[in-house]
Amino acid sequence: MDLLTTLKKLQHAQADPVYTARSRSIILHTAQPLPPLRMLGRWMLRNVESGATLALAGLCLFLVVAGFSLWKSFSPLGIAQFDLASLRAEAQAIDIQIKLAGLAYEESTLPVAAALRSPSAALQITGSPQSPRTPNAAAGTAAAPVLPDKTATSTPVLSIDEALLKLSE
Amino acid sequence: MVDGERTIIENAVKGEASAFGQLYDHYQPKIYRFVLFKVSQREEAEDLTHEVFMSAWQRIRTYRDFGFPFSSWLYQIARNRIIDHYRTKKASTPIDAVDPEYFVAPASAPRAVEEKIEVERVRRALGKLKPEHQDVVIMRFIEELSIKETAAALGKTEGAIKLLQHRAMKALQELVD
Repeated sequence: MDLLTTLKKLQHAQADPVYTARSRSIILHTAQPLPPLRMLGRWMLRNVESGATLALAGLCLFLVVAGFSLWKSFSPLGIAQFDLASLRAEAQAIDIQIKLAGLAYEESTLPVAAALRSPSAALQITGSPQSPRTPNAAAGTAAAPVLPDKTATSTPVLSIDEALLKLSE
Repeated sequence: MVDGERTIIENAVKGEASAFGQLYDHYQPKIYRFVLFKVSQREEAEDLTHEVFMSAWQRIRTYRDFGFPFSSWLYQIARNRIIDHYRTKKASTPIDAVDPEYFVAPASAPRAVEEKIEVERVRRALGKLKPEHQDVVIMRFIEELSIKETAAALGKTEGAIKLLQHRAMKALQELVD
């Protein structure tokens, strides 16, 4: 048999009619995709909410920037003076004088010991509430050890009680 | 070609389902056979043919008549679909998977057996050809497309199709012999 004739006999192959009918029906009942312009319209409509939010945010930002610019240009308060150079010059021109009204510091034991040595001074110290060491002495608590200093080595050291006794005389 | 095909195609491009239905009725058997000889399994051929026409229906709005027959557009979709099919599917089934009875027209008993054997030999040989030789043989000698239609469907020049056709038939004859 001729090859071409045999090839033509292969034309008899056909799809199952049931499959063909079903396939045709499915295809023709399938909706076609929308054309690009309509799809764009749908997309815009779908995203209108977020779009509106973005537009509003943009408008607010624009108003803030524009408002600030206008205020800077036309305000009688002169925002133009807010530039750094003038501010720095102004700051340098200010005469700043700081006075220390009071200075508290912890005294060393040296003046306390010296004060205790002289009765008049001791009196002053005991009368002064500002001395940090005297409250203990005034309260008569256990003899507070007075730290020895270099100058006190030749003079006898008095206890608080003795000092008080002397003062009472 | 269907009578008044141009008008039918224009209506189908506008989205008229009945017009596309007419095109389906006319071209589905051709596309189905083309796919069947390429994939060799009836179920796969049916599925792929369905996908080809579904794709054609969904893309018909983009169809432009450049003077080529509508069938060449469908064959292009079918070829691409088959290429995708073989890309995703590693194992292929031999062409023997289809019952030989399926291809032969009813005939008288003694001649039918002889014909069946001959057709089966040619079909097996066709399955062993290179893909582009298969395309040319199916389109030119089974579906009886013109050189111009075949060239449009395969995206080649008419001269290239003539050359391919010659080589394909020579290779097929050698395989049959």
